[in-house]
Amino acid sequence: MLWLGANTWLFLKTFLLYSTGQQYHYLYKMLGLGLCISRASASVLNLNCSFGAAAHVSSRETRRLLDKSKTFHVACGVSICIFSVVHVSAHLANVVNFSVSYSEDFPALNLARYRGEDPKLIILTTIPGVTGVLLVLILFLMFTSSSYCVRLSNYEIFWYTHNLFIVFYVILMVHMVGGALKYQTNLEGHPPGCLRANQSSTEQQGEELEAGEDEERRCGEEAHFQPHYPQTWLWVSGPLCLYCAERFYRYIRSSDPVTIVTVIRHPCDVIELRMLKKHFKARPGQCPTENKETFGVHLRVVGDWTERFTQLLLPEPRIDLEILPMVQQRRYPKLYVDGPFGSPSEEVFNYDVSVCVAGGIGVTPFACDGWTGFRLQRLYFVWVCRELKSFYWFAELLCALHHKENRPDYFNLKLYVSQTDNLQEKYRPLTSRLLVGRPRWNLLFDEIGKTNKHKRVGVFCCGPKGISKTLHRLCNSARSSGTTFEFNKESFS
Amino acid sequence: MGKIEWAMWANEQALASGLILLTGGIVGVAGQFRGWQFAAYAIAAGAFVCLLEYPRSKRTKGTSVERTGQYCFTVCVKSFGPLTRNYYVRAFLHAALSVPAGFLLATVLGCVCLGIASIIYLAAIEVNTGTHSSKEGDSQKAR
Repeated sequence: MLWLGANTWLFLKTFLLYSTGQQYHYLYKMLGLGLCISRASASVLNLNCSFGAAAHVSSRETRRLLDKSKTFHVACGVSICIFSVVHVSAHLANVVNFSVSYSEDFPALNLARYRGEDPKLIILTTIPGVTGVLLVLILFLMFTSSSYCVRLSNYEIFWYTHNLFIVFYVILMVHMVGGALKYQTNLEGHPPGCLRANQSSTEQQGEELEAGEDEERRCGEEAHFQPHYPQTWLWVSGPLCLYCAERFYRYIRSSDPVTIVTVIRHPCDVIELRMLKKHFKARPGQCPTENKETFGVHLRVVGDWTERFTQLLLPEPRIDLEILPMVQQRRYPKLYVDGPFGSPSEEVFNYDVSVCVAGGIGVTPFACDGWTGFRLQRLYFVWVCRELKSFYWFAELLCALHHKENRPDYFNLKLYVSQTDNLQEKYRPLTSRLLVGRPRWNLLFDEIGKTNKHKRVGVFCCGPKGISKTLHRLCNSARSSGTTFEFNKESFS
Repeated sequence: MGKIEWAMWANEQALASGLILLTGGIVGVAGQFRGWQFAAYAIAAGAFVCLLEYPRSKRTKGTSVERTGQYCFTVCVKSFGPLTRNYYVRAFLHAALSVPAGFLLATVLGCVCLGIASIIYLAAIEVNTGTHSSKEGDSQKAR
């Protein structure tokens, strides 16, 4: 709401400035409404570009301040597109007016070189024109590749085109150089509209004019015009510097390669990688191994990058090769790890009661060893998978947790599987808790609400859109038990 | 890079360009600028491109997401057979359609955007050799 209000206020303020401001009187006469609309939309664009850059910063400390930054970033992006359309249309009208209403009285005010100059030529031979065209093309590429469908199917296209934003911002800062729009500097010496007064007073020499009025409107000197000082860099350079500093810091931080300790292949195309890094300090919720110095990641092998990575880590043994001596170690690729980044899941420990819902590989943000301590008194863990084999990814961890903290009032585990299959006897604590079919969220929430009356329950979801939409809706609906559910969502794409 | 389905992005771009062309054409005709006939052409060309590109084709691998209500468009497009299915035809068609729009200021943006979409279609052919055609009508709804 604050953002909407800021945009509206800025648009109206700039619009009024250009339509009523004395220093823009002559320019307004030449260009009309197009001037006001284009400048107003430009100031809104400045604001949204700076917010957009700020939302891009993803380091842990700043991300917590800009929570829900992805939605905000998308909102900024959409508004940039909309206002760009408005801005471009208004400026196209301005260019036509510059050409058609070429002013002989005030040659300094003109952008066109002569009356009736082709508007396309004006655009292509001025800095604002050329940079404007480039900006629109970059925006077009970024916008078309940001659709949900493209992100889902080909994330690389989205990623690489979105990195063009650096080019966008650099060109944006250059966009105003050249000073197409000018304002009048000597308002006292040359009140706007006085030229006409001079001409009319010479025609009506015989008539009596009031002395005061006459003096006010007489021109003392020629009108002087000055182009605007480029303002965009003031808006944009701050967040841009912040972003560059953050990237630099991340580069330094991740310049040490990690040592790969173990590589485990799990069923359903998941690879677990255990690594060791110098100066690594585990934070709450970030250490899924017993040995505190190592940390692990689980990767689902889906695209070409993950497939190639798996081939490098676990090359298929070739039958025709001789068996290598045991002394020769496996050569792993050099791996660099960047992070950690802030995420909503860290808030789990700040609630008395938390519900963590994971869909498939979405369990990874919740996979850690340190669930005890802090404020958390009760944890509900709901894990929904398609196949039974997927539970093997974290079977050891869950069983270890169960052995360590076998308190049903503290750690409540619910496993759902969409398809039936056989499960090994080794993981008995899991088999007895297995539920077939999709969870009935309404009933689950009612049950949690009854056992935790008048408490604030944090709901954390990492999984497909369907689950998170349902959970969000349930969290927002009122409960008779007086329990409030607060929804926090972790997203992957 | 070899596994990226460029045609999907080209489809999004072509649809957006069609809309831009249509809007520019409407502005050009409404303003009665010099050369407004180009704007009238742009309206027709933009509408045609939108109709052609609205059905989203099935992916070679993975789930495909349909656009809302695309079934009737799919039937129309499929009826032209290989003429609309082949990416070479689409690429050159878009390139040809975009040229006349470049003569009027209001539609020049649509021209450039459609040109870019045409280039991406050509890239889709070059990179993904073997997937020269799109398969509409068989796409399933995403889970």
